[in-house]
Amino acid sequence: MRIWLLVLITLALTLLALAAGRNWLDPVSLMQGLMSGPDGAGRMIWALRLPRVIVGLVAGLGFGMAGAVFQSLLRNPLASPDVIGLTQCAAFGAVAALLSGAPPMLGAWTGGLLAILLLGWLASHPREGLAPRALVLQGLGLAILASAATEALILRAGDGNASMAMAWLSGTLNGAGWPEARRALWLLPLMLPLIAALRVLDRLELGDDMARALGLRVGLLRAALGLNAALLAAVAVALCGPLGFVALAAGPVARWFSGGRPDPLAAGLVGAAFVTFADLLARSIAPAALLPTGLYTALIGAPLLIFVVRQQARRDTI
Amino acid sequence: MPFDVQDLTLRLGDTTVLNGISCRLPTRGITGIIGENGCGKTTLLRCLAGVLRPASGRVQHAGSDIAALSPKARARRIAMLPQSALAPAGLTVRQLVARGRTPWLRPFQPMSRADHAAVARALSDVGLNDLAARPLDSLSGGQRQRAWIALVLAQDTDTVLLDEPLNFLDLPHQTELVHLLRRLATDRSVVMILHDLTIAARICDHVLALKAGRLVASGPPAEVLTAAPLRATFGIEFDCLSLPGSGKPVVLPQGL
Amino acid sequence: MQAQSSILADTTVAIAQRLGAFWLLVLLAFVAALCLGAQDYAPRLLWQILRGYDVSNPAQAIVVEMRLPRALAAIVVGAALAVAGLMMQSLARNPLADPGLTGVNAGAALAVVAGLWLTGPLSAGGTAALALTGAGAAALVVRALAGQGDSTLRLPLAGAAFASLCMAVVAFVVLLNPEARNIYRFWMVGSLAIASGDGLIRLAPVALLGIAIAVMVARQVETLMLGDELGAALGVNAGRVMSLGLGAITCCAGAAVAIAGPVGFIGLIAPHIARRVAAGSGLTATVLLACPLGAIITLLADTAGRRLVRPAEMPLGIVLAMVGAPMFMWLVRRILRGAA
Repeated sequence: MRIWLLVLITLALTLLALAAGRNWLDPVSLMQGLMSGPDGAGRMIWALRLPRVIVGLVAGLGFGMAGAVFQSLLRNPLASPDVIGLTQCAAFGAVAALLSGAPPMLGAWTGGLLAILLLGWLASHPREGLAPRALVLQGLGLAILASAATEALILRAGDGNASMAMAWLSGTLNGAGWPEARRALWLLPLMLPLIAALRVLDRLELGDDMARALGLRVGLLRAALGLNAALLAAVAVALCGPLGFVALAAGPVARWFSGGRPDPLAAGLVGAAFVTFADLLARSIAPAALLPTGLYTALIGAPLLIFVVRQQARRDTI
Repeated sequence: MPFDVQDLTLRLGDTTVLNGISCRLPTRGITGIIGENGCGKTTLLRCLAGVLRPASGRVQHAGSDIAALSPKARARRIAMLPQSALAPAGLTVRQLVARGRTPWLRPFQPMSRADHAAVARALSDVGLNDLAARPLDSLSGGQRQRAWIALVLAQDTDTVLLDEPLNFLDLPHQTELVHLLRRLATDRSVVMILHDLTIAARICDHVLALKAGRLVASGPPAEVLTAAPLRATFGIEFDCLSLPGSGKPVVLPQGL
Repeated sequence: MQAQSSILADTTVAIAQRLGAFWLLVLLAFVAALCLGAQDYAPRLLWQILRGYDVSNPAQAIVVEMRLPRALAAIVVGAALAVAGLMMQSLARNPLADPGLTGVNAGAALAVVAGLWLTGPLSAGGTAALALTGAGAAALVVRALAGQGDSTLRLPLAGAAFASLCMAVVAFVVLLNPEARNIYRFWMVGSLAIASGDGLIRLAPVALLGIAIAVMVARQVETLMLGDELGAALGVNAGRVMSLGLGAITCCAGAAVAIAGPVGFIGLIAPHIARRVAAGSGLTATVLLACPLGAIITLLADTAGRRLVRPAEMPLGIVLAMVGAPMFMWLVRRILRGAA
């Protein structure tokens, strides 16, 4: 039951993240602080650390699930939303919305959906349909383009300070409070269909015709799951920016915990643990520097990307 | 009468892949589909399985139009093993075969005792009981093919469609698989695409010959695997003999 | 025989004409880069400066002290990256190779930033040495990462993976040092904002050396592009040409990164236009044409970046990414559709 091991790891990291900070808490005072409620001795935990940890957990769940679903639907471990440019486009949309006074959530959704449509058109082949390797490479171009456009947008807005650009290009939990945490809970309904999709994803991995012969409505399911995962990733971006490499890393790591199956819940838990761990680093290595959490996810995740590319190159699948 | 096909036509883009095919297939035994590459064999099989919608015409299975069936209901009657099937990494044989129970499972419910029994039956049918816990990647080509066939058997349908199941197997493995298919065909209908006319002649009870999307001939091997229909199907001349004893046909391309 | 040599002479003349036209365009772009910016000046000001530079005149001082070294740096960086990209594409037989996309620039940036972190401020020579080492090492690493095989799409993917790791470390190192924050964007996307005449004087010769090597080995590289075996049969020493080619790439990319940070896409855009203009008249001509093209693109992109978001400025790397990324996507689409 490796999945319980995963739950345990996530829980332990969560508690550690609550205890960590400028002044570390020992287990007893952490528990006392949590028990005493928002107005008691644990005011600092309740006001500052808890919402931040909740936002990190939910965003990690969202990125992890969306990543695993994309990787499974496209049968390519590189096809996660942060590699194929979806999160970058969502970030662009969120920033554009923010600057024009519209709700960032709406902008992120629009950006994410546009990215999907654009990639579908760019990577489709007249005869062979959607070419997975093309999708990844076109997504790479799209990611660069969207990041550059986001930065240009921030610069154009005038008050373009470096930290806003940094936060929106790499993702951060700095400044996440209860309003963000409450907004984060809206993500949960988007996760339920993906958790339930375990069996469908598993059958789709046998190939389209095989899945159809087993009685699945392949086209409909693929479109619905892809759309759902894209929305989830976009909402997570609107929450804390495109935390890089979480979606990419969660799928392959979760497969180990779930015995090789494409389990979105396991991937979500891996993502949540990953983000919590990265934020723990961000708050304990150089707390004064206020470095974005996305920097640490990138530092940990980039070697994994290299590993996956190397593995795929060996198998000649890219 | 599992399949009653009426005037089946299918276009992909500008090309007509299937053109006015009408035939009836027997309830038991093996039906072979033969023809050149690109003549529409796989497309016909996919239409029979209901995974592809024809432009016009009807495919009826045991009296009901398969286009009107829900995908799940259809998958409980007809199983298909496509050539494009992919084996996810790390799956064991038993896990793979269990995927065949999909149309019988209810949402959010684990496999029932009946499901497990069906998987065990399928595994023993193909003789893979001892290897059930092994990862699929560690099996030989012949064993792997039997595992895939066990998957469609676990689906528990009275009709099984196979796309070139004998490809890439050496002679002993081909023979072994042919024995298995013959045995399976005693109580269900097996429809498969075949390349080797010698094997088609020996194991089929019924043969469909396609040429450029049209049905050229349909009937028992003794009728279809003769000089004139084969010439119409492949465009070359064949020497047709009959085997002493069983009287089954043997065909050889001339000039080979 | 005579007809053939006259055809050759004709192509040489045609290439020379195009080369002359391109350098004329470089001059125009250069003048534009000097005149336009946060504040626009009439070209008459340049004429006045040429007649006698007056330090006390603020407009003249801005042009001479700030815009002149920057425009010269743009020319050097553009030419160097264009040649580096062209050599990469030829040696790897891959139209998608570019020092930015393949992680070579990121490797150079990482080496320089690591040096800054470990030893404090660097001299121009030290920067150049580190950038060259980083560029060369990155080229070898990415080559090994992509492995052998004929998939065109694998090299940029391996490069992107390697680049993302390098950039993550660069970002981390730069941001840990609060004083270094103002150079964060420089090291992340590349910019000419801090180009100085001093550094340029030391780094430009390195870039020129790289370009010279590229021009020298171009013909042999061309033969090698027919395949290693056929190249060997035609008397080309594959190992030697490969090392010289890698040397040219390292010099060009290293110098460019030391001046302007890890800017991408010049090495993708310029060679593709150069190949079209050269119209099959050989790699030597293409290298020569790529130099002014890279310079024009960089000058225009930098000038645009200074004007688009006045009074702030858009880093060179951002402007180039917005032009280059769509071009990259267009190339991938063409390759997939079997045009290349």
